Amino acid sequence: MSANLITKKVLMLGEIGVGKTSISRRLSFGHFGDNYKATIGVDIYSYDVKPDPEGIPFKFLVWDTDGSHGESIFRQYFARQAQAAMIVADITRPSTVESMLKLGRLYEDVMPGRYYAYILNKVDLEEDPAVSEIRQRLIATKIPVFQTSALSGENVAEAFHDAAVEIMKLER
Amino acid sequence: MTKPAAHDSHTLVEASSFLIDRGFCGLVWLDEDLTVRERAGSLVDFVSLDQPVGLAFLPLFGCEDDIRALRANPRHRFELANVKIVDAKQESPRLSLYVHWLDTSRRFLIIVVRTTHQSGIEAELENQSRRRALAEAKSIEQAKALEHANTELTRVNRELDEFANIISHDLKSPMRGLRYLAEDIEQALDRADTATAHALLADLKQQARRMSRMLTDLLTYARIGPNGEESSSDTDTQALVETIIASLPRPRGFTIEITGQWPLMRTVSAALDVVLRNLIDNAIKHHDRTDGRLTLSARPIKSGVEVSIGDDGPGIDSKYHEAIFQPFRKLELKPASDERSSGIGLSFVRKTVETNGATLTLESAPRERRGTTFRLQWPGELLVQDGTANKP
Repeated sequence: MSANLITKKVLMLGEIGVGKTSISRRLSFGHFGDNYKATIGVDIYSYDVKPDPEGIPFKFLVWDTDGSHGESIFRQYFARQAQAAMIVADITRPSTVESMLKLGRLYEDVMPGRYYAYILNKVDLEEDPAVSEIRQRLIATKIPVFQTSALSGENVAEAFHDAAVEIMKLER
Repeated sequence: MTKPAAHDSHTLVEASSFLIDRGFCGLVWLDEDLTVRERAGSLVDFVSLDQPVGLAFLPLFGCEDDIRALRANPRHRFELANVKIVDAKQESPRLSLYVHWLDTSRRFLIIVVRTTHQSGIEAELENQSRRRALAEAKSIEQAKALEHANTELTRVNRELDEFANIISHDLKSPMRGLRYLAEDIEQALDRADTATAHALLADLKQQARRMSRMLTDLLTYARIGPNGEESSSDTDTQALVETIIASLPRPRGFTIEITGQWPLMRTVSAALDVVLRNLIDNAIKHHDRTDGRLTLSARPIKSGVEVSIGDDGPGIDSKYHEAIFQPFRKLELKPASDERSSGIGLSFVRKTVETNGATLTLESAPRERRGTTFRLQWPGELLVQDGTANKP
């Protein structure tokens, strides 16, 4: 293992069925599994960020969490040691976007100063009009927002590459 | 497997019983520096030797301080439940980890057990139950979307009725006027009274221009709706209102005062422009004095800005408070120049307000005092001076 390797733990947060596991699998294995199975507990994936951010090898340990935890996720032991969070919503279900915003605010309170980003997933499907309205509020929060499709892989690696770059900046 | 350092027998017995009872999966020994030195059991593929624990055994990444803390409390243990390690080739069973400090051997011992609280059938049942919960959540969202579509359909139907009403009543009358004028011109020409015919022709042209304007405005009005593509932008509300005032004609003695706190906000500025422009223009045009006074004031509110537009004009009787927002419904007081007005300005305002989730109220009681005040609450994200969001 390279001495210069940076390893960071990132939490995948969001409601049940928004695509956290699909994103984690797309990221780690480069494919999409269409057999939905709810995550019970936490599944741990690892992902080597490519290209190396700023030329330094960077690995994410992706903690794909159980969406049923909701906002109580931050009381779970494993959440305490996370250095970043990717908070996911499904653009076909407006309530998941509202939950995503709530989780974002809570993450900021519980883990101030750490990186997090919003992921609007399933852009391969038709967006609910109510999500388009919420999008304006999302932009106003100034938190990074990525629009992804775990199905096609669109923007998935890019979101994590940006996260790695931003984490390195934060720790400089 | 390398033989572990000697343990105290009590700990070994205790640990063995624990393992047997709970479904043993593996053991991992760490030295005082938290480097993995030994491993045993079916988990060897998920644990690397001679690596720091966080990298050698991923579930414990970031837990180093908690593990070290056990040394101070040897009777305590550190637990991490319900984790699964997934890589491209394989998945571990779902695991629970128990970390102990073995004071006698000065090593940490990690006991790894399968999560046994769920059998395969229970896990499948849990999974099915979550699928059902997800399906129900989606169904609720679809029902909401349907309700939203129904409300929108009702609104569109109401507008269609309104539109049909306008076409049948408000445009019929000027059309009839045109016909009468044409007949009068015909009669004048029959009498060889060309002077009258010319005068009537001028009236006819003016009437035709007015109708043309009404139709144009009506089409513009019909196009205002929630499907507009206008997007939000950072808006200096004071600069916006100053630009509007500069572009509107008004009598020389007419004064406009801007007071209060006009915030910088992220909002749909084109729509806000339509509303403010029409309200201000309306106040100027329908004032009965050339030395009228208009006061525009603003204050930031939690959800955007509140603007009040107050004039010292003749006021609007309460019986007209609703009618003035209907297309082509002008009151007795005609504006100075009818050419500029089709009577649809306040209808634009109401429709734009509704479309953008704003509210507008009207205060006027001409029997008690002069003047009218429109109070607008317009939504937007307040920004501080550097353009960032102003959090409450």
